[in-house]
Amino acid sequence: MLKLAVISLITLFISACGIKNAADAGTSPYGNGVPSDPLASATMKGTPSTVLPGITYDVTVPNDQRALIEADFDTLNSLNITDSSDAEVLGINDFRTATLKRWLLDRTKYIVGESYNSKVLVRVAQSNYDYGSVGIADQVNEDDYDPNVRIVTLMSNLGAAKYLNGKDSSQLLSMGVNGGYISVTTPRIGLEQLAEGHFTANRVPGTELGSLTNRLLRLAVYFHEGRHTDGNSDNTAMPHKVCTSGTYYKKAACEGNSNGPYAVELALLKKFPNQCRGCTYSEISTINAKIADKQSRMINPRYSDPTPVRNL
Amino acid sequence: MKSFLASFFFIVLFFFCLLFFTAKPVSHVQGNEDERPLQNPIAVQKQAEAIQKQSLSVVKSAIRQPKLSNVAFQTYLKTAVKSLPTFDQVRDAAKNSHDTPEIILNAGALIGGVADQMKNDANNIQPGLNFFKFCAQNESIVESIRAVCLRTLVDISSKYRNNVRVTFADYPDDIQRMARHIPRLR
Repeated sequence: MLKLAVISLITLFISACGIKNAADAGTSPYGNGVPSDPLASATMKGTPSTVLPGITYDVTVPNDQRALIEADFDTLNSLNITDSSDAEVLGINDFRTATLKRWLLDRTKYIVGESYNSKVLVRVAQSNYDYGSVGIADQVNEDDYDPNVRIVTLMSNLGAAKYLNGKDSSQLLSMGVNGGYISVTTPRIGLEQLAEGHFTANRVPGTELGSLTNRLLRLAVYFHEGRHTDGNSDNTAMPHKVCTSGTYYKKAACEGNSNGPYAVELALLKKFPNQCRGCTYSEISTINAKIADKQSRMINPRYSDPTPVRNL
Repeated sequence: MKSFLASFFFIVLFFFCLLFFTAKPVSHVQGNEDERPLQNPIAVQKQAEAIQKQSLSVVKSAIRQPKLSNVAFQTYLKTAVKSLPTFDQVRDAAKNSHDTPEIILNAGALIGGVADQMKNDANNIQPGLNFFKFCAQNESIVESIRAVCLRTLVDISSKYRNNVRVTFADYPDDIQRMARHIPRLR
C-alpha cells in the first residue's frame, strides 16, 4: 500500500497534473482494426508536426491547440541565442536552433490531448516484465499527496509516469496513440499530455495566446517535460523534489538536480528576454517573474547523470 | 429656503467626503499594515482572488492603452501595490505548484507595466522608482517578486537617474541572489 502511494507520488512529481491510473485491458477505443496484441502494432495513423517532423499529435489534441504548439515550435526558428552559458545544463554545447530542435526531438515523440483516457488507452502488455535490478527510491512521504486538491492539468510527461507505474508493478505497459500502441519500455518513448491549462497558465495578461512572449513561455515548458525522459536508476525521469522551505513547502515542486527539468526550463527562460524583440517591459517582466519563481525552486542542486533508461 | 440650504450643505459634505477618501497621494507608495491578508486561509484566498481580478483588469487595460494619463498611472500604482502577492497568497493560490502560479505571472506583468509607463512619461519616473523600492523592500511580499522588483529597480534607476546609484548590496542576501539570476533589463 505504501509502495503504491510512493509510486503515485512519483507520478505526480514528474507531471503537472493529476495521477492517471494504469489500466487493464479494455475494449479498443479505436474500434475494429486495432491489433489485439498491443505490441504487434508498428504503424500509427498520427498527424506529424510540420515544424518538427518526428513529433506526432494524437487525435485527442484539438486543432486550435495543435496550431498553437506548432507556432511554439516554429519560434525555435527565430531564436538567435549566441550566449552559450548554461548550455551544460541541457548537456549541449550551444543554444543554436538546430541544437535545440535535436534536443527536443530526442525527447518528444507524441503529444496527446487533455481528453486522452489513460484508463482505456494504457494497457498491460506483459506481466512479470523484467526491468532490471534497480528499484525506484522512496523519495517522498505519503503526507505530501493531498487527494482532495483539484489539480489543473497543464502539461505532463505521461510516458515517463507510465514507465514508473509499470516498473513498480513489474508490468510492461503500452499506450494507445492514434490507433496503435507503443510499449513503454523507457521514458524516452516521449509521450506528453497537454491540456488547455498549459495555454492559460503561461500567458501575459491581456495578450494574444500566439504572442511571442506566450510562445516563449510555453516553449520552455516543452523542454522541461523533455527532461523528464532522462535519468536512470533511482533518478529515472529526473523527478522533482519535495520543497523543504519557501512558498512550495512540502510540495513536490523543487529541483534537486542542477540539470533537472526545472534547471533546463530556467536555463532557457534566462535566454528569452533577449530574444523577445519588440516586447514590452510588461512582457519581459512576466518572463522574469517566471525565472525568479523557478530559481526559488532550486534547492542545493547537484549534477545527475541524465543518461536515459535504454530500450530493453 | 431652509430645505435648499440643507440640501446644499449635504451635497458639499458628500463631495468633501468623496475627495477626502479617494485622493490619497501615491507619489510615495507605502505599504499599509491594514492591507495585510487575514490569517483565515479561505479569507486569504478570497481576498487574493478579488485583488487578482482587479489587477488583471488594470493590467489588461494598461496593455491595450500603452500611455496612461498621470491620474490613470496613479490608479495603476495603487492597484499594483495591492496586487503584489504575499507569501500566503502565493501558497494558497498554488493549487498546481508544478508551474508558476498565475498570481506571480500577473505581478510580473504589473511590475513591467510600471516600467513601460516610466518610459512613456518622465513624470512617472520617480513614482515608479518608489514603487520598485517599496516592492523590493517589503518583507510580506513573496521573494521571487521582490527579486523582480530589485532587478528592475537597479536597471531602471541606472537608466533614468544616473546620479542615484541603487545597488544589490542594499538588499537582503536571498533577494539580491535571486535578482542576480534575472537577466539585465535593456
